[in-house]
Amino acid sequence: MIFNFYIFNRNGKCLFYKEWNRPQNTLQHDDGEEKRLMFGMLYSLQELVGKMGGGDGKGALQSFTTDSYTLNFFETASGLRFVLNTDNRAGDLTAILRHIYGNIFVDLVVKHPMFEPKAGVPLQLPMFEEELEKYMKSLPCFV
Amino acid sequence: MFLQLFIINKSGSLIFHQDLSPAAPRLSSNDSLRLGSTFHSLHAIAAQVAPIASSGIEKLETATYRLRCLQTLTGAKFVITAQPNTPELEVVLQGIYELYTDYVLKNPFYELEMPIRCELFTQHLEKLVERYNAASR
Repeated sequence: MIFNFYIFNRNGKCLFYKEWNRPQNTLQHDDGEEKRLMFGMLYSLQELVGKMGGGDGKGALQSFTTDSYTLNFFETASGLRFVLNTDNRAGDLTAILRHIYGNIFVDLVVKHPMFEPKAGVPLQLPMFEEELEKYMKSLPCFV
Repeated sequence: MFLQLFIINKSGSLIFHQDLSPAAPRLSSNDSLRLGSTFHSLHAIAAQVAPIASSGIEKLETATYRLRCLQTLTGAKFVITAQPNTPELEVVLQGIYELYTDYVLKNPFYELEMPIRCELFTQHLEKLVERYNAASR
């Protein structure tokens, strides 16, 4: 089952958020706080992963799993961070995150004339949302 | 091949750290203390941002190594890192927990939540890890 999906820019602004199933949100009253906490956790986790592995470890974090969900992580060379939360039966989703970036995000967001990569404002692009929705629903692990 | 072992007490301080093979990256004692506490907080945050009721981080996969975390009922965390193709991480962690109960908790000179300096524990830990490292070679 796919729970939710985040895109962060390199400064930690949440460009896009979408949830399909979310039984629990401990920070429901404050949306911004929830995104900031998520980004902060990933930022520190990347630091930790790099340090623990020796070297700088850039781009090394792939996923982590708790007893009930798996967070899949993908960072592009430009510093965009893609985060997809699923249950623990979904398997390895690295290829799916790459597909979302390479085939959907680049085509419909990066190439969009109104997209300003540095502004850090949430995306308002219906075509991207539709395409993402379609792709997610086509995945075998969606339900 | 196993790389490193961290044991973190329930309040988040590192009480034990050991390299488990020559391939483990070198960490200064400051760094390992910092990593231990950082992991403790991230473990808690992972449960807070979860989309569903959840515990903390249990497994973590990266391009160069994998990490497993065993949290005991008393709140101590055993964290082990290993190269990507290493099998049976959970079994080894369980084994290490058993060694901890036998040679640390039953040591009359050991104070709870304090750094572990128990000769017998280190010896048996090395033996256990060596056995698994040899089997996976």
